[in-house]
Amino acid sequence: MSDASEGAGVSGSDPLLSVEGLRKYYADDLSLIDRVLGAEAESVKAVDGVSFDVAEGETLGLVGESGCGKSTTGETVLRLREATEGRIAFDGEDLLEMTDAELTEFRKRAQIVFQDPFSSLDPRMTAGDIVTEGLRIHGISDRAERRETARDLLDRVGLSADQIDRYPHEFSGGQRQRIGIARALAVDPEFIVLDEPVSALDVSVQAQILNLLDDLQEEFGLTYLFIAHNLSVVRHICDRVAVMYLGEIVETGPVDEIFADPAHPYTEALLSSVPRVTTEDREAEFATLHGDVPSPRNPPAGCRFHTRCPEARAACRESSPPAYDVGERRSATCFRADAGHSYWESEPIEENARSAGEGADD
Amino acid sequence: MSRGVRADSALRSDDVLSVSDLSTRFFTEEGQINAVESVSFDLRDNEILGIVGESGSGKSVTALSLIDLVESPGRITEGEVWYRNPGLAEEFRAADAVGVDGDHVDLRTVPPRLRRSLRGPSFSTIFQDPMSSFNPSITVGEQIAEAVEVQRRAKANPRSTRSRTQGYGLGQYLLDGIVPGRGYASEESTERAIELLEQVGIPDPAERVDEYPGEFSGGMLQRAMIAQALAGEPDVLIADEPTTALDVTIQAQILNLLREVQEERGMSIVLITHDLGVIAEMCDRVCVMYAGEVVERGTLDAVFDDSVHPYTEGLLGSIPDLEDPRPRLQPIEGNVPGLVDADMGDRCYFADRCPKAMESCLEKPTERVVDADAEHGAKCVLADRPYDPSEALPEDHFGGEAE
Repeated sequence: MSDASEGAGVSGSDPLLSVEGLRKYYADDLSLIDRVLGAEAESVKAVDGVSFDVAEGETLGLVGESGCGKSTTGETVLRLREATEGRIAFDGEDLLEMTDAELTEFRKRAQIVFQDPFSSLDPRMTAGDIVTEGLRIHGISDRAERRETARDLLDRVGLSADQIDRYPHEFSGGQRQRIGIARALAVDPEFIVLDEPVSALDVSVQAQILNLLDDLQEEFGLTYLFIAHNLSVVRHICDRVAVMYLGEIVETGPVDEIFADPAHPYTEALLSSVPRVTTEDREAEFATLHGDVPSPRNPPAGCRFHTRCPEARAACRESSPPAYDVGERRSATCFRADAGHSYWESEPIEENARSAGEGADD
Repeated sequence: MSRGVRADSALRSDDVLSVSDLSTRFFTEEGQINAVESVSFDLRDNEILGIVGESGSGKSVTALSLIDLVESPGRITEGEVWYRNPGLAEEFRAADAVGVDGDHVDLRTVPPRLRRSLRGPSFSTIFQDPMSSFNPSITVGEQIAEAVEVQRRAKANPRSTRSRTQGYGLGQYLLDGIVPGRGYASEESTERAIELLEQVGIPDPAERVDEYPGEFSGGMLQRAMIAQALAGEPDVLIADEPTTALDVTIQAQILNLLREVQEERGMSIVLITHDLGVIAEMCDRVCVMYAGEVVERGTLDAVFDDSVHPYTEGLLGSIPDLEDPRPRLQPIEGNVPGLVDADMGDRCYFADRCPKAMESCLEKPTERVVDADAEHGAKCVLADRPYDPSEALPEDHFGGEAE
């Protein structure tokens, strides 16, 4: 998986998907009294200035904790949600400028697989109808052809073609996720957003689905945007990874390099928090972050991570770091990447010193 | 009365709990569901015992069965739960109907009211979803204080369940409806609640004690639930997927906290999870469950490094490794069986998914000792002899059943 697609990325061809300065704010509805008093609507900054590229044939992982905006990003780049600001280019065309007709065309090329296989399939449609709904909507083939396609697709994703007339409740979670994948494949897309496709599944089934996604990518030359919170899954399936925290990308780069040598303290903390499946070198304590993720309604000033960062210094409170280059196709938004920055002279923030397990501040 | 069934393994004095042949069934309209089938394991002093399995493997029902919280249509149909408690053992030594062995009492034979009175001072549980385990309309502090209060009131007469609710009968309930604001918990209990919140690492506990569950984050609420569970100073803490709903950084905090309270209080913890990483980091000994049975158990090293049962191997092979990404995962084919009694058949339940299924797997395997290590057991014929391809079952043996 990784070698071929990484090569495609480096070769300098235009990326399939290019996102620049993407913002998505959810505004609160104001009550009448607030309006009379002229209060300004407070908004949740779910995605706040995110930029990334996805090269053709590669898998970009989007990781982060809940509430960091990774799913919103995934849905916004498909225009399932309208962006507040920013630029999204798919194969060179500006997605936000597209007319309805162009958008319909685009939807044939880009698909999505959702997290929860229980709520993302219509319980009143048969597996066959679900899988080929896209074909029907786009008027691609007639009924008999669609049925034939559905049988092929079900077969391809590891189900039996005879299950075409069954309803979703007759399938297990893993089988439903296979139906969701078959549905995404039906219109023969180039690009698929996989929004936590395995997090609702048991480990043994999760492995089956990951292998299936690998095979399909190779067979159909697909490009994936893989959204997940499980780092070992990301490590397994992705070529490059973008780590999100509170609506921003804090680090991006090739998956091997980031996992071997994280440049941002948040990435480092995420990695050290993951319980390892090995009986060797068990630590007495996890090195982890203290405190909770701050609310995206009112993110901390300066570097958003400074309230939890074990390396934070006074400079991190004052301004927010730009994305520094930290290697080929790697960047990290942390002053520590800049050896000449005034960060190094400023005072460390004492209470942030690593005190695992103690929710010291709030 | 002494224990007759398990002549092979006597109770050890450091067993806090010893479960043998526990079976729990659900009698539903679709038929009888064998959620837990003949499960045996021991919980020792000062240890964290892991129970790992996929969804539907019966791990949560096993936990509920330990503390007698299985609800209709479920019922514990068989088995013994030996709990070490010298006081109780003394009390029931003369009673014919109650199983007593040394300092251990068989909780399945004591009166249900007594079992109930053990919840809190002996057993405590924390559940998976902290958001739905708290009452959203009562402050966190009051809910913890309530737990403290129940234990405080029961102190005078620990065996009675009545004393716990004393002063909170129907009359009081009705009065509270008319004159609100009279709490069940005393000031003393509230102070203890603040202390407990502090011990589990909640910042500014004196202020947060008056907040509602909705004002707590998921991780904080899980801490509060641990505080509540500690109120009765239990011997055994049952943690049912305590970190599944949490993010990794928060999960690591909670796991650290669990370790800390375990060490400080010298309790024993039963940690139920589907995450093998959590097991590997936390547990001393492990039980692997599949289709209601414990298919392999032993020390962490034995089960993870010298696993015998192909299911354990399959689980371990299914996990992408953070340090060493393999090009391809080795999943277990097929799906978890449905556990309806009528469909189960009299064979190894894993045979239809097992890459090493042999003809002898069509007989139900008993638990065998692996490598003469009394701690390491597996319900698999491979514990006795190596895989013999000449006896392999034909691939289509189970037909469409396995899918």
